[in-house]
Amino acid sequence: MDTDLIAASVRASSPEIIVIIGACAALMLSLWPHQDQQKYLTWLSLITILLASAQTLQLSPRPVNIVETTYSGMFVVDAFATYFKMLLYLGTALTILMSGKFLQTEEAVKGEYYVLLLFALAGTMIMVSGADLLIIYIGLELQALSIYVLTGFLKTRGRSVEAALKYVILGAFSSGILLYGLSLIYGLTGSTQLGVLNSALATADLSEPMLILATVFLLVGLLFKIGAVPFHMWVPDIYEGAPTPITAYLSVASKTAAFAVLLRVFMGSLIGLEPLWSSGLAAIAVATMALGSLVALVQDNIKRLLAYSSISHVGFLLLGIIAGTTSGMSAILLYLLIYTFMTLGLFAIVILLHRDVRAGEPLTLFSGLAQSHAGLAFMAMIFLFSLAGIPPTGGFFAKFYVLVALIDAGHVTLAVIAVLLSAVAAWFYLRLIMLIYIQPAEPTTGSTAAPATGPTGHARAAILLSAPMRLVLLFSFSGTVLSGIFPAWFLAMARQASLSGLGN
Amino acid sequence: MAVIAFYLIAAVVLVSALSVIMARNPVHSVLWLILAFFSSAGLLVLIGAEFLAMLLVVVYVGAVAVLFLFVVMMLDVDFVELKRGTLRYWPFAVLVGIIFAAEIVLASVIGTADMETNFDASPGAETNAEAIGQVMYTQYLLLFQMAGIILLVAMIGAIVLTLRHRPETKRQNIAKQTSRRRSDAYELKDPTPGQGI
Amino acid sequence: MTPFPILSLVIFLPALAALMLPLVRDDRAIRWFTLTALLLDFALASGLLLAFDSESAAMQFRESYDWVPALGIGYKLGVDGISVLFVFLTALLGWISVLASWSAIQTRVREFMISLLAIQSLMIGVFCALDLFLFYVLWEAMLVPMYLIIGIWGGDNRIYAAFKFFLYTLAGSLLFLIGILVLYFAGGRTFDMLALMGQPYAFPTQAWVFVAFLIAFAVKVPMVPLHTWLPDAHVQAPTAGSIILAGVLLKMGAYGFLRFSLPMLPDASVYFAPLMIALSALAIVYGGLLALAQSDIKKLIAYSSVSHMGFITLGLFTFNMNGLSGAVIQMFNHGITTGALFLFVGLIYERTHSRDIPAYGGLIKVVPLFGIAMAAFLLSSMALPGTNGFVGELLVIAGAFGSTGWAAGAAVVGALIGAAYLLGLYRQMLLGEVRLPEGAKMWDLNAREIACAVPLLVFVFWLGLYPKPVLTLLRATLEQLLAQVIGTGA
Repeated sequence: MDTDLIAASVRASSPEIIVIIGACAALMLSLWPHQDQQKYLTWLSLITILLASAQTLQLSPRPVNIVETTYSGMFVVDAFATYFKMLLYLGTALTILMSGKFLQTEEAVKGEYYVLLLFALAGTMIMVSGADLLIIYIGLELQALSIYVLTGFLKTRGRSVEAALKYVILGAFSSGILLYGLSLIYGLTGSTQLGVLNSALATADLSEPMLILATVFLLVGLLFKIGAVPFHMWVPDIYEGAPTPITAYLSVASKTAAFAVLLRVFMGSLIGLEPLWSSGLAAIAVATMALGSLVALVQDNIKRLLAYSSISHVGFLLLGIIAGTTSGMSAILLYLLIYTFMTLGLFAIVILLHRDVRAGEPLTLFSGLAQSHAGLAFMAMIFLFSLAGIPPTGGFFAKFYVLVALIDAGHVTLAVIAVLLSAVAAWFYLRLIMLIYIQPAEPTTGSTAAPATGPTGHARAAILLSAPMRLVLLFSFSGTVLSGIFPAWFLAMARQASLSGLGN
Repeated sequence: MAVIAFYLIAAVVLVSALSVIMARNPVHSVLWLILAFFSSAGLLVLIGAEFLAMLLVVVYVGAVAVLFLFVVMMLDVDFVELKRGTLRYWPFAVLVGIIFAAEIVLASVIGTADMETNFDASPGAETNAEAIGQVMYTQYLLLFQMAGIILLVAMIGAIVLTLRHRPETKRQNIAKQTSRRRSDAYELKDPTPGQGI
Repeated sequence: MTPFPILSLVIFLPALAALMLPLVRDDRAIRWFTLTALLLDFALASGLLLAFDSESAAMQFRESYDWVPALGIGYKLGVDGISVLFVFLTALLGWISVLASWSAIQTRVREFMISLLAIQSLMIGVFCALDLFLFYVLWEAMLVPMYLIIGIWGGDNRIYAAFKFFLYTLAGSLLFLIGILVLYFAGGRTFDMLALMGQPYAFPTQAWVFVAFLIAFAVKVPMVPLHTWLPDAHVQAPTAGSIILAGVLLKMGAYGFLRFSLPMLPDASVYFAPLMIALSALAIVYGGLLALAQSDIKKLIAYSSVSHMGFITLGLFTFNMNGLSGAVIQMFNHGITTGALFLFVGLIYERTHSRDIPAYGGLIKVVPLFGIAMAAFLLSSMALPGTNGFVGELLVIAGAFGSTGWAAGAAVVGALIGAAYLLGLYRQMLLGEVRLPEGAKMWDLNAREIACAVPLLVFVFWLGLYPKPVLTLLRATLEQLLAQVIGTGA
């Protein structure tokens, strides 16, 4: 590569470089012994993300259908990647904002938290911009490794360490499967570049056993990452054990990045192999939605409930892949954006209600919230209704658009099954709302972390709405509501992004 | 000439490999293993893969063997007790041995009949390292850099997960010390005479 | 398109009031504020009714803005003869329910009033919507405040009732959504209701969409056998909730048939008409018999609602002018009458905290004004000539005779059963020797309660004796509807 190409490549990957430099700077800053170290680290991380997003927007191609491939075909900058990067910035920034108070309550304030989050962000950015299976894998590993450590960040809590261990094993196993599928594809076509794969597989014989094997392995590896049935086994345990902001991150950003890869690979390059995986994926989607909705009905821990709820959302998203074409892909993109807003908002409220890890996060944390904090309760209600898919929230429009894409492609039966399972899922969201509004508050049982509040025992006074939390709630709430009432703008963005996503 | 060198080094490899399993002292086992690695590196140099030989020395000896030594020396494992009763599994060991031998014979008999044997690296390259470098720093540049970042994250992660401060030991909290303000240290009181504080 | 967005104003006025409520401090001010907002809304709705041109069958006061142009979704509003009537009904029942809850709701008054205002906006919006997506959004969004109203301020078993109501209606609505989407694609990728009405769809498509719509509307109406949520919801809901539920929400199911199934799916409607008539007849008789067996006042009135709604759905599927206008008038009447009945049940409950019928007796001697008014409403529900109920039922039965004889017979039987339980209720509670539940504090209708009852009484007798205005209002619209169904029907 001559210097011009190198310069173009560096310029194209400047957002990633900014994030990595920011992470290294945070690493050095974390060594500085200062009382307000955490505040400075938060600021540093946010500024890094802001700079990176400014650079991403500046690099975004105009007109929209131009695709710039750099690093000898490894790295691509197109509207698809830009959209996903903005989504990832949003998710990571909100996670960073949510973490501050949480870490202080858990007495686990360490600078490396922010360093690892920024590295995870860099990993996801590489994943979504990758135009070669190898670089996608490397990005995946970078993100996964950072998150393994973050999952086990609360070293003194057994659940956190257990979750980290499970996640490492699960992640290593699924990465292995993914890599094996990748190598088989390489063996069959002689290249790992997505653009080359598209044309190489266009004339492939679909009954070739090696090809089927390769597709299956690749698909399974990715399905592990998003937590689809039957590869969801440890997802609830991991979500339950990880520190709550990291659970939020896992639930939102990791999934977004994994879906980006899934879309680029399976709807972009390997679209020729569609007959191989479409019926299998339909069955998986239905099973995922069913399991997520049904098992969540019996949960009594908030984080486990939210884990199963995100599994059911994953099922719905997979339907978008089955719908195919531009509308299916833009449906998934829009859904991921709205899903980011509502899930992060709800997790923010869970963090606010969190008192002490020893007490766990039972559903009764939500009891009586309406009587002590009306505004917070209202926001929680909107987030829950959005997750259930009730208009006029954004969650409804997201589901609606997926259904439009699905019926457009002719899968009416799938659509009917999907909406019936949504109705089932509505039950546990409704139960939470019932706890918030109808149930009176739980009296404290003398846990040490709660302040003494007299005979009525309201531990509600422990909710501290710090400025970062307010920011998080503001963003997520307005995002959820606006995408429901004025979805046109969000829809246009998603459609633009999907056009280039199919181009490869 | 090269043949003599080959047989010599190969003999060293075999002897040290056997000594690994026969040595009674576990530290001796690891040291014999290190010798086996070095000798294998020598063999690699002989066939012209000098970069791989260096990698073998740096990675296997420098990292893996050292790790073994750490484990062997720091953990109090009773190897005698551990190895007691292993002789009971001799049929299984013989079976595995036969399989291995069969594989080697099969591989050498089938040989390289259908395989691509033209392993010519990129033209114009003089050494292995240069050949690898020509691809790694141009075509696979991004992969290389990102792999480096992954290693960095692994280091950070290992320290984050395992570094702990015992609660009983007294340590200095530098941040607390340097952020100490005059107001934390002392306050002025004006006692009336005869009253005290 | 009118220059002044009157419909948007009528729809969003309660919502704006709801947004401003958090600023209002004490409970008394909250009640007055809500009442004022809803009275204002009622004034606007009445103005709308008076300004409505009965000669034209077209949609009036139309508004149309782009919402999501990429999907063919627009913000479209408009009213015809049917919708303007129901906008009026909703606005009327709105302020009446606020007055009914004046002293009944003492806890969390602000949330209650916000929910009430929200549901008002949504209900009026449903009647005015001319875009399928907008309709659906408002239709389903109604579940939220209703769930809260039943669940927070309801009776002892309210959580179960609220869940049941929500999930039943949600499941039906989601099937409705699938039907909408199929229609969207079949009709050329538009959600505009008027554009979707004129198109000839293939019969299989029509049939499936009709079934999907049927399930959704059958839950809402409710039709037998999907009616089991109604008794629980009614019994457990607070007074205002019951008034709105019975008065307006149930009508929306029938409105759905009028607005969607009949004009958009005419062939399927004609094909399924025998089924619909059979189910309606079943509802009339079965609902009546169930009501006869009840000893809880609210449950009795709830089952009588099932029976009355059976009359309405029967009228809708007779496909003649008598039946259709009878059905629509009966929808309005049922709103007035049953709303009034629930109001009065609520009033008596406030005094005695008992809904047990055998515990009452001779109320007309203790609270004469109450007794007389309640008697008027019971007689109206029974369709006594001179009351509004008679007009509706007569037209429906006449229409039924015009199409299927046996259904008309069932309707007459149902009317007789209705007379039985309603007169029974009348005799048991109001006549005879005085009997009151334990710890009852009786007072006759005070000024506020009279203010609630009088408008409803006015409508009972006005429409009973002089129904011409309403009939004229509806005629042009219904003639066009009939032409859409019969003209293109098999």
